[in-house]
Amino acid sequence: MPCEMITLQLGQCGNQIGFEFWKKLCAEHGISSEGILEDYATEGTDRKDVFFYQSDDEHYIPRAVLLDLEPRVIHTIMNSPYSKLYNPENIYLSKHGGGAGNNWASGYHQGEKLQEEIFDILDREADGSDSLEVYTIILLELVLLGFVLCHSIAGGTGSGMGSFMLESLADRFPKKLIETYSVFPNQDEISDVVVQPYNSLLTLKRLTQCADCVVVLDNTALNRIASDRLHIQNPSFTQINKLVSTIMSVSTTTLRYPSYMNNDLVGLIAPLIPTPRLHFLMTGYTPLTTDQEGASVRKTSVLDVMRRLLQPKNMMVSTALDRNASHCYISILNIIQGEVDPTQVHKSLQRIRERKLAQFIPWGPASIQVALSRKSPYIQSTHRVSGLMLANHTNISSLFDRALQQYDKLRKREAFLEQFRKEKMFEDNLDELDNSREVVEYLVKEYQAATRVDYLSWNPSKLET
Amino acid sequence: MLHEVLLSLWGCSTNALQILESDTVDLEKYLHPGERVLLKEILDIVEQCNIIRNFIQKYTTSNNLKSTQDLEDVPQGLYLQAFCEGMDQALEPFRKEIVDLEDVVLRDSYTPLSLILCRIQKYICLFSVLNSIIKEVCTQKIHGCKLLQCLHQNMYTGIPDVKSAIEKMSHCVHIVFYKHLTSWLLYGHLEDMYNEFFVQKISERQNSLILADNKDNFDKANTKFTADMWNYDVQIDMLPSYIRPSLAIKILTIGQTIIMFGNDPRQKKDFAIVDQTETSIWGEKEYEYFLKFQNLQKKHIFDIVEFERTIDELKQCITELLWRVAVEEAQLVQQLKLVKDFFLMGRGDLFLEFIRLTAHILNKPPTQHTSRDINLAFQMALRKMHLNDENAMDSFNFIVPIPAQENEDIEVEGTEFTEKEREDPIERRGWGMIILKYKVIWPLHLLFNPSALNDYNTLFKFLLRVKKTQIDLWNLWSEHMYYKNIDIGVIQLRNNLIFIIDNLQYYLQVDVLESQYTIMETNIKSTRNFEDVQKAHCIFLVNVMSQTFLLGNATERRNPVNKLIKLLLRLCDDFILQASMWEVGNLLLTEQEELKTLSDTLESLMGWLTKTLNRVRAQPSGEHLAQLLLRLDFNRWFSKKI
Repeated sequence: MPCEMITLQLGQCGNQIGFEFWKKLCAEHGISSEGILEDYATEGTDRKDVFFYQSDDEHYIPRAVLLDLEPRVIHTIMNSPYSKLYNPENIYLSKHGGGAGNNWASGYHQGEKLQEEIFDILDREADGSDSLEVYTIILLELVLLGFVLCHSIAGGTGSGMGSFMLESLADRFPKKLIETYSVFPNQDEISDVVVQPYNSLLTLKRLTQCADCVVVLDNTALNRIASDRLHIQNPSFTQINKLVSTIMSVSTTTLRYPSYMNNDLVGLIAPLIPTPRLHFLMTGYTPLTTDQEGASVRKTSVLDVMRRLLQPKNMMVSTALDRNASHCYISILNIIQGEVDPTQVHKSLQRIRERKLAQFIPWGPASIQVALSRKSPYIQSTHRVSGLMLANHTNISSLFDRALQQYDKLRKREAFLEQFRKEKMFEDNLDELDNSREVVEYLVKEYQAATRVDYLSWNPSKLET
Repeated sequence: MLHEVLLSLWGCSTNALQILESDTVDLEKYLHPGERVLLKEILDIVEQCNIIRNFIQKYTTSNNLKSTQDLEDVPQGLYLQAFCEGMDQALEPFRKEIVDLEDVVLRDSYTPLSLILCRIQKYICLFSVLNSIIKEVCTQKIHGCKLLQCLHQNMYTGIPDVKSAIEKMSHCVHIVFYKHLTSWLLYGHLEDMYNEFFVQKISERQNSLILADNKDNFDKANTKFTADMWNYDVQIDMLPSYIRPSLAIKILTIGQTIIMFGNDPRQKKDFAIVDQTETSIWGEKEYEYFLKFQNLQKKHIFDIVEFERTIDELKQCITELLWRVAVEEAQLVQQLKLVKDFFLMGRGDLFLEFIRLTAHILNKPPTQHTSRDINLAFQMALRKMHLNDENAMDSFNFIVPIPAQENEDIEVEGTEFTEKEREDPIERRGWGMIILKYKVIWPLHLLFNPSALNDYNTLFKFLLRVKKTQIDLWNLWSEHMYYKNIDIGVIQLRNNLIFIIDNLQYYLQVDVLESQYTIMETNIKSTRNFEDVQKAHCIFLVNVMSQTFLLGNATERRNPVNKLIKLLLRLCDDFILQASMWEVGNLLLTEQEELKTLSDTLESLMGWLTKTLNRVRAQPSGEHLAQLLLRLDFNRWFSKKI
């Protein structure tokens, strides 16, 4: 399945990371900011068609839909050199431009109101997915594989409208895969969005119920990495988003640089997600260095990369240690790029097992999968080898646990609820909030249960009663 | 009387014997009883000598007698003629002796018989050795190069006369041998009407079996060329023991290479100019090598050291030439990459699409249209992947042969489990029948010979099968993701199967194929000798075949790991089929039983597999088993259960 994905960028954060992501993809595939293939990139064997489509005049156009309720970020994009890259019909700005005021409910209802227009775009994009190639029409049905959603769970548009989109995508395209790159708010600093805990919780419910795979991008960890590892004093959005775009591009690299395996998004995530609800993935990346100090990490073997990926300091999720449960890995996929000797993979695996560097679930088979991938030939890097880890780890539940605690604090004081009561969903009662809390709590419980041998006989229905 | 004796020694038919045997009184007058004994002894020698002479006569003038040749005769041949000629030469001293004796007799008519006997007695030994050789030749029908071996065995007697005689004979035979050898080594010609050389054409029938699946698709001319060079093989039983089989193989390959160069399709295919192309291989060196062989031929004693050195020199020359042609002109490295991309599924995305397009066709037993449909789908998949490399597209295509209708059904009633029932049903469908064809670029069929291509196809079928199963399991996963609420037993079984198949694939693709390919690639890049390239490729293929457990599966004893993997794949098929019919959120009682059966089967299969792997991995040759085991049993889930 040439895996054709439609990327949906929602809200301020979603559009910003999306912007960086496409910039990165263009650079990797040798596509200019105007969508034209550079002269040096014509001979490549890369698969540009996974994320781009080709219009008649040899332009490569991202299969992306940009949505926002306020114009600021999209205007920045449209004033950048990349303004001609996107299909203008795929950019949707709410007409009044007032934004969602960081209110989940407002974002959700605005999404509801605008759904006709938005789904017009999506349907066109989904239908167009393959029709450009005339010869395939006869035999092929639509090969759209799924959607990639970029958003933040804290604000108004990304979380609220994102939630609405998740629900309606799952409803309208039931068999399509929905993968999200969800940015979790920074919990180290006081947010200017006071209702952030409400927003997060309400979005988490949809991520649990409607998405197939959520790549968690934790701003807390990203900021920590930027300041501790990259020595940036006050990391800017752009710098953080660069990290995010790296993760996004590397996690799709096996799809874009085809090799013997992992050429399919389903194949990539199916082994990672054994049970339907436990689909929140952590990421780790190495080397995390600034360009200046790159030289010091140049000596890298497969084992080095794999070992570093298992170190918490390279993880893009900040996870507090939970003493009650011995957390463990459900599954791990390492994508290693660069010149790697494949004979080394086995030895590294052996070493990791001997040293017990990774703890795995006790209720089923689990292992570290290692995908070796090519690098873009057009990007010079000081690092010979780099690696990304996608891991399903039970400890991610501590992130949700924290979200629950913060929600509880706010909710106990009944704080800031009046903005929500203004919207239709909360006019009569706050059941939706309670319900979301329950869903997230189950999720935490299930993750905790997954650390135990008897997970398979663990029954969520017992909790419901 | 003395002359009578001498004449009979010369080989003329005389009545000396009759005289001796006629028991008349006259005889008593002339011959003393002691002389009679002497005469008898002389005549015995004559008889021995006559046998030799008859043999020589029979086979030197043999051409006319061809028609009268009956079964008991030794087969005709140049070697035999040379052998006789040598034997004739070996008799030369004996003849001289007789001439001398005649001289003596003429001078002194009272020469005693004992003198004659005494003079010729020293040849008894030679005659008896020659006679025993002749007997050996006649009874065992020794023929061609075997004569060399026969002489070689008899050469070391310790009697100088016999030794020099046999050396002489051996030299004569070697002259013929060198003529054959020179024409084979320098021109790739084998003018061997009596099938005497140790390199021989394989009979057509035998040959067609090997090339059978190669022939169908290539154009006629091409087949002819490829066939030409694979037609030759070393007949080990013809090989004299002092030429090592490895040396003989070298000789064979040199000649084969020359034939192949002669058939270079890039040059004109006209046979009229074959001679020109041949000289171009050796160039100026041709004369040099020719002289070398001439010198070797002149040596009285076969000089194996020098012989081997010369062969090595030729081989060196030809392999470097081949390397240049193969690696530089035919772009071996790129071709290997193509072979890896297609046969070994290096382009996973392509086969993902290919399987998606062809699954519905390959799930059925092949029909007349299958090959065409599959190729069409393949072209579409290629275009879809934007693989517009004309080269690649032309080089590969599929055929799906229709299995021969078998009517053995009637016979099988008796036995409970016949092979046919045990056989995976998928083997009879397209998946088991599909063959990927690769048009080998000249002169790379030195690497990709028919049997190598056969191995590649075995690999391809296996990898395709694994990948197909994997994709089916993934689809099941997608289906299950949509329902969200599914029986945990189904989930667990599905996860285990996904895990096993994924890790099997990782093992196959990374631990085996990719690793071995890297090793081969470095080896090929570091040499300028085509023989090393061939060796590297050969080692690659053998390692890959054995580590994927596919080696020797055509024979009765199949690899136990392979058997278990096959069963696992079959279990996956069963599970996928059944699970697609279940209502996975709420299983019926019968469905739960089915699930239980499947899970139990999986458990016992994995038990067997881990046990098998565990038992053998400690052996030095079992390193790859340990690799597979590590992948499958990383968190010791399966081994814990035993």
